[in-house]
Amino acid sequence: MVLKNKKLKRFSFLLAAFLSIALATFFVLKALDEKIVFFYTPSKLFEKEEDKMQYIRVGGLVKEKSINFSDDGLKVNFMITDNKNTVNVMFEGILPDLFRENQGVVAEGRFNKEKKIFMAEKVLAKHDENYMPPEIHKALEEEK
Amino acid sequence: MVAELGFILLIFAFVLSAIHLFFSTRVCFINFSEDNFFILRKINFSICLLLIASFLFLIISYVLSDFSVLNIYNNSHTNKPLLYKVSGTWGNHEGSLLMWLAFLGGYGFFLTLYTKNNNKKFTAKVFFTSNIVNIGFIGFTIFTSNPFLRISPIPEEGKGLNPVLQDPGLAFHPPLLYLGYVGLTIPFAYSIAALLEGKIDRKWANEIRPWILISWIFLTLGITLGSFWAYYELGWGGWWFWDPVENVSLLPWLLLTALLHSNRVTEKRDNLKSWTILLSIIAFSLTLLGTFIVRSGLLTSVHAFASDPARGIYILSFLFLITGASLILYVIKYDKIESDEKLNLLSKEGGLLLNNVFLCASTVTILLGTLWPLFVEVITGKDISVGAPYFNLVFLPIILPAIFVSGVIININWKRNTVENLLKKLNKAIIIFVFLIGVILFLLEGPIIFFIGIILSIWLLISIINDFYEKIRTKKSISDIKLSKAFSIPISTYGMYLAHFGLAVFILGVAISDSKKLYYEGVMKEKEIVKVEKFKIQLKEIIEKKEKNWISQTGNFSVEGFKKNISMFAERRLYLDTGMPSTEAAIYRNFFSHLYIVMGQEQPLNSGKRIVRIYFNPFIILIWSGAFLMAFGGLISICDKKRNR
Repeated sequence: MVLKNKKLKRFSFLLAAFLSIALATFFVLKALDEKIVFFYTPSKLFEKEEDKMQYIRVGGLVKEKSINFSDDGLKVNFMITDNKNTVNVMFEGILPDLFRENQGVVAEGRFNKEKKIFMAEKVLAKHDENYMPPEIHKALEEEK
Repeated sequence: MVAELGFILLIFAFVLSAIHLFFSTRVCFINFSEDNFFILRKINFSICLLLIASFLFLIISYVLSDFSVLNIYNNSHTNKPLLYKVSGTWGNHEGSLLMWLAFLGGYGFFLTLYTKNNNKKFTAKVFFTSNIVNIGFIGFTIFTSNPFLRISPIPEEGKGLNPVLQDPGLAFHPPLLYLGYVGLTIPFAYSIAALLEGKIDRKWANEIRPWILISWIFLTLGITLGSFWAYYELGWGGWWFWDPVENVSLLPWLLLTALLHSNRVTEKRDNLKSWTILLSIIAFSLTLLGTFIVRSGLLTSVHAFASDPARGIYILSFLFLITGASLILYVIKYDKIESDEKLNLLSKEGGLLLNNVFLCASTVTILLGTLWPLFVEVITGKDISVGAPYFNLVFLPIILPAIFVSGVIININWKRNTVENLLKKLNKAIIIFVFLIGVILFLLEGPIIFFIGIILSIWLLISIINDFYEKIRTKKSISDIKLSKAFSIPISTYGMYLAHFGLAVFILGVAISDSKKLYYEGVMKEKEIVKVEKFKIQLKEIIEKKEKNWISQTGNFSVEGFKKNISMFAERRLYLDTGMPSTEAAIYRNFFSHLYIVMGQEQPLNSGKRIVRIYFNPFIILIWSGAFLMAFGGLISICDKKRNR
């Protein structure tokens, strides 16, 4: 491994550094392409053209009196609204502590366009009652 | 009265820093004299003490529940325990900034104290730089986030502290983290001073090493405690979520770790000088960037503070100013500090440089993933989020090889090696390693990442033992060891061993707990029993309780499956002052493993049905103990007296 030529040594070093950065960038771009999750408001969700069931986020307020639990207590059904359109959400699991009517909420999952139901895999609400996630704030402003 | 005093002290500190700026500019660049240097020291001491005192006065106001101060009204309540009245001081934006200032003061105090006999011309430049940082942050606090603002009329009672923050873990997590962040100011100031002076040598590297270590230790502890707090308080059963705010604490940690290693090369071999300087500048800039991201409310996160555009703009301008000026200075002075020393790739310094590349590359990927949503929003107007899948996919492939390389670096010599010598030194280790891999592959089963983790962990462990063994054995034969030789190994080497042993323990914990965890989620009523593999868990009863500041419902679970039967209590609280609910997970520790139960609210109401989540997290304690051992190893390294000579 001991290279005799100084320039060659420096060059090999630069090459190693360059290669690792290139490799890193490659992984990053590849991963970003697959792993990003888009955010929609209910209105935007209905405008959306593609039919494939992408993993997305839908955010807005929990509509008043829309929360229903199934009899077995495991499933919950509620509506997310941006005060213009609403989307029906199904979720199985423990809701976050601050999940309430008229509170900001973000649901992560896939939208079934035929049945018009959003099948949520995760429901996020924030841990501060005064805090509104920026996406939701913006979404509500836009749909006014 | 107390609050006014605190604010006046803060103003004094600001005025003094402004005077310091003019005076130190004169001392550094126009007219240096020893007398002036000693005056500068006195101003330094005064600013530091003013900052610390101002923070103490805010704490006192919190303890006295002085609700005429807006910040206290918003974040405190008379019926809180004393600990949370005090910790409430830094549980909010304004107060935490004042704590930041107090820590700047604390570090500044010790910096001034310990540099009395150092090169005075150089030290004046260190003071000059650190004072600029002081001005930036004091101004930020006074003009955008004054914690001493009054309200009128004076309210009877405060609004209370967010219940998830009422926890001992949270009381100590921010101070430790901030001590880490703020500590970076000193390596930064030293680097700028070295650039201004146009000179950097081994003595310089030796002087900043304890500061880098201190900063690294606190940051490690702060992140660890934050992770542990999120684990037991948020009830998600996990210990790391790739939340933007977690990421911005990891970024400086990774760079600080890189700095720790490159500084070692500068100290020992007088090499990688300009690289060490660049790392300290960027690591410091990243803490500013982190502050900007957290304080501006740009990214969605559990840590979000109520946002205020003015704060974002201020911090961003400060960030550009500091980073821009530093980098320009770096480019101008680059020629003067670059060393002519040759660097052999097959040597300790070469290996450390290679690991630096890995660490920096992983930092870049995390930075990119964290900031990507901002870029996309600005360019396309679409809202996106980048979550755990991205980070796992990108971060792990870059950081895992670095861990493998670490094991080799521990064993390799400085300066020059041959492949034959290295193999000769490592041959026993490699034989044992290959044998153990065989045994593991034969006996255990699991996903690939499980094996990678275990193998890396064992490799690291074996290389540490191998290096130690080689250091204590005599030249004569392989089996002849002389224990007295163990005393001649520098203490800092033992610190290094322990830190890397901690890393091995950490990786082991991650690999096992992640691949072998059990998970159950389902609806339970009182008296119902569920089976999760070897565990039989019954929800015996729901107990209702009323405390001073909350009411609660507690699920009493009886668990069969450990050596003896146990009871666990998973709680849901409703805090009366804020009306906020909170979940308290039930955690039972069995050796290094946790059984973790979270109980949801009753749904539908009065049906008696509750969703229950049960996790069994094997060896998860190794994660935090490993991180703690790393920090402890750092502490041992600082204690090496020989280093400071």
